[in-house]
Amino acid sequence: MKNDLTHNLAYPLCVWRKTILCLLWLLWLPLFSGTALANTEWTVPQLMQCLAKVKNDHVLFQEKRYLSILDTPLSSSGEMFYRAPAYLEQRTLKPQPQRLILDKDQIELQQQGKIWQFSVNQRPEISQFIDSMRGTLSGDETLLQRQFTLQLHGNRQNWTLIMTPRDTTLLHGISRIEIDGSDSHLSRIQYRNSNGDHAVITLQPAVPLQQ
Amino acid sequence: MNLRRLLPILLWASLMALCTVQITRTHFIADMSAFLPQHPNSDQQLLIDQLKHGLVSRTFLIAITGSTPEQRAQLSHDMAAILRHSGRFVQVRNGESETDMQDFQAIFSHRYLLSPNVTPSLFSVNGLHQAIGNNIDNLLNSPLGSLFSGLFTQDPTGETFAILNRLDSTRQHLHVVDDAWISADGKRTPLMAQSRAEGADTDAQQENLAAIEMAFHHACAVHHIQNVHLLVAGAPVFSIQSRATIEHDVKRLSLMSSAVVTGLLLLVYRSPLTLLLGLLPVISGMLVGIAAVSIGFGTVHGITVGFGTTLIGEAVDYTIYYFLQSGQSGQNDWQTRFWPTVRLGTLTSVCGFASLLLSDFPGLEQIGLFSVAGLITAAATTRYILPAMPTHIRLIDLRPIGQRLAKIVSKLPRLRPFAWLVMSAGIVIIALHQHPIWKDNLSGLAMISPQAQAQDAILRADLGTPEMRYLVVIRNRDREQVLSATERVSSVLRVWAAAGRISGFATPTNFLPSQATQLARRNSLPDANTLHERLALALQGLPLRLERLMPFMNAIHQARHAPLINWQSLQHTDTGLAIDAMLTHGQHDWIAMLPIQMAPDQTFAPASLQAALQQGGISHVEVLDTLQQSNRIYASYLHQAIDASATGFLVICAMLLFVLRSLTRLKQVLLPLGAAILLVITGCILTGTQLTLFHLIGLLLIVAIGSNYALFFDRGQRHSMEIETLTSLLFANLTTVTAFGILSLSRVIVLHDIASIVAPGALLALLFSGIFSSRQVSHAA
Repeated sequence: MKNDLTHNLAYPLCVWRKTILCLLWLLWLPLFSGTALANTEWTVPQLMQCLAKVKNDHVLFQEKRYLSILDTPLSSSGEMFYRAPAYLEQRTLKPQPQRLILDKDQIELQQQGKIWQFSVNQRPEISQFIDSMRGTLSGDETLLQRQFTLQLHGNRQNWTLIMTPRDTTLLHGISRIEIDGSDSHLSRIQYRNSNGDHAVITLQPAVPLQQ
Repeated sequence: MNLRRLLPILLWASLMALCTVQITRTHFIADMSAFLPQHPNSDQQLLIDQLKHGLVSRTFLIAITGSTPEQRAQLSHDMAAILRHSGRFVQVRNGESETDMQDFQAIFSHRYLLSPNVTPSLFSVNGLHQAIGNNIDNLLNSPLGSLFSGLFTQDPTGETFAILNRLDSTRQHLHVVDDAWISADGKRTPLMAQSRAEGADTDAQQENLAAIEMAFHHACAVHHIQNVHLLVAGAPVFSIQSRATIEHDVKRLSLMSSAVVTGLLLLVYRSPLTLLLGLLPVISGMLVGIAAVSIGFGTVHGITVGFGTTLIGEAVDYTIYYFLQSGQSGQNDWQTRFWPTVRLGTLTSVCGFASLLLSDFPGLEQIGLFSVAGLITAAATTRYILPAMPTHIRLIDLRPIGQRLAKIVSKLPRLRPFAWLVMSAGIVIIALHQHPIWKDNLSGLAMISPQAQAQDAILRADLGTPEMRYLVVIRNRDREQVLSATERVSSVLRVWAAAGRISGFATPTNFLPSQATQLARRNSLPDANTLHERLALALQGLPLRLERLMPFMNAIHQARHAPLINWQSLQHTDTGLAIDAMLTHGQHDWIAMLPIQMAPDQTFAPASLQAALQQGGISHVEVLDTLQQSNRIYASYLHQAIDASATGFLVICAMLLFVLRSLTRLKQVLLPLGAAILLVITGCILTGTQLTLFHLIGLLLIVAIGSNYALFFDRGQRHSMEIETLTSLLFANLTTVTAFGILSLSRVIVLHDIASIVAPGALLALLFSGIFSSRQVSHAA
């Protein structure tokens, strides 16, 4: 990015002036960015803008699910696919293969050769969960603001978004969501339910990247 | 005016007044019930029940198109709310989770009676370990797992989902937008409404349809949504549409043919009074005919009334004969010279139509009774009332036409060799014809437009509702026996579905297992102590402590003491309604009907399923093809009518022989009629038309009308053929051909088939009567 910019700027100029400018630019740039990071806060709208730029994504996930009724956590792993603005597929490979597809208002769960379909609006707990997911991935601040109050900590390279539901009366509802990330990459999602259940999902980019 | 003259008029007028009163009190119907057998066998009865009040007959398929899926979903919710509130529908489904939740609740609370997995082995240590472990992996360890933890502690072995899974194999998945169904291509938002009224109650269904339309418009107005359209299909809509078609056609065509015939008559009758008098027998005949049917059957079918217009064709002839023939020689003369011939012609027709009274189908009987009463009245009116009326008969001078006609007729016998040739050709064509002349199935008889059928198919596919062509029918005196057999049938069907030989089926035992099965399930539930012990062992190696499953232990304890689900307790519930559609109580026995669902590309052999069921040792079970069954009803209907007509024909021959007292004369009368019928049938074969039941009625009408022509020509041979007689025959023929020609435009198959055969048939009958008559026409009056 830096090279491109320098090159573009220098293109019409003669060689020596170009070199000087280059040097100046290179000198100034870290300083400039540094002050920006130090002085300007990393805001929710900025994060959203950044997230909204991602049109396709493919990541691997590891999930640990701590259910209050169980003594030990349940683990699962697999991959996730995202396509802007509203398609998310979670493909669990272990311990039991299953697929969860969120497409607009539709949820589809494929399990043991059976397909379950239901609507997001069928239960408010579900719509809360789906909105948190969808809003984050598509960078839709209004959607998130409707259900949650948002708090953002950290900087562009290392941020944490904390979502607290506005409606806390739901029995099996979410009480807190914490998402860690860097730039437009999410690295960890933590859900905590009002009944004490919680889940930690760690994400890493899938290599090689594929559609 | 003396009393002798006044008396018949007074009698006639009072009869007409009585008939009019009777008609105003008559209930007119236009559904297909009149065309169903009166004394059906058990399979036919089943089919009739399905047609009249089966699930399909009461289900409206609705779809909203246009605008956006979200807006349509809004409309769908509003419409569903209005329709549910209206009380007209026992069930309105549009994908709203509320109704799904009710189903879920009902299933959840009876899970240990309904789940196929509930067996003693499920509650063994190993069984519990397996089931609970499996359920942890599948239910809890899913992205939505936390939502299910409440359900899990009550149902750790996953019985609720086991039941839903089984239901699911018979239910197609519908997509949902904003909590409302949407078609797979996203273009339509479908709903389904099941009426409280029976399918046979077309009036109520019409009100229901109006209610659906109102709900739609109301919802559109509330949300200010435009550019949306409503599609409604389903069996009730078909019956409404076909009734509307019948009513519309009957009105339009009666008006048209009346107008045309009146116009024709005005060409000859020079005064309105003459015209009025001329129509008197027709009108009297129709009044008496309808009143007679009304008294005899309680209701009058629209098709019967439509058929009445065809009567104009024959009854109007009587006055034409009377006016034209008495015009020159006077009334008294007509009564002595011509009336016996007209009377014989009428009797011939009456014999033909009376044969329809022998059939088992009210629809045919109505037509028969109507014609018999109508024709006798029309003839009697011509004979006794017209002469008593003030006579100012003014006709145009038909002599020039008559004379020209006489020349033509005198040359007609020269065509005799040609006529024999044509007839022989006809016989050869009929003899060589490979396919059956009579069509003994219902295809093509439906009064539903192809567009409406296509629309229905689309909405049916959207909603995944079965067409109900194939039913597995299980009968027994005892309801429990039926349910037990149904369970065994279901397990066979499940294998078929898994193998992809059928795409699914519905069964009442999904919601109402037999008491024996329920009892076995309940008995496999262990007591509290046993369960506690086994669970403790079963949970070893699972991340779950026993205390967590207290709700489960309580649920089992309760289920052990809960009453079984029985048929009575389900009455008046949604589930009960769903069951009632599949489990009915006949006159002597209980009947379960399991609709088989087929994918469009699947072919289904009822016989092989029947064989599979019999191999499974299931008795009193039958795979019913409803289409084939209705075809059979129709075929029996047709063959009955053919037999009856043959009887009628023999009676006609006997009667003619008795009156004419000469075989030669009988031959002379029957030959032209036979020739006309022969050629009409040949014509049908050549144009690729298979003859239906209604064509048969048309053939009867050809005999009825043609016999008059033949008899007049026969009379002409004995006396002399006056040119007045000739003109009257031509004129009568003209009106008949015109009236039936117009009627053949009808979209109502019954009327179309009858008329399309009578119009050419009547013309041919007259032509052949001329060709085969041997006497010269006298030119003198």
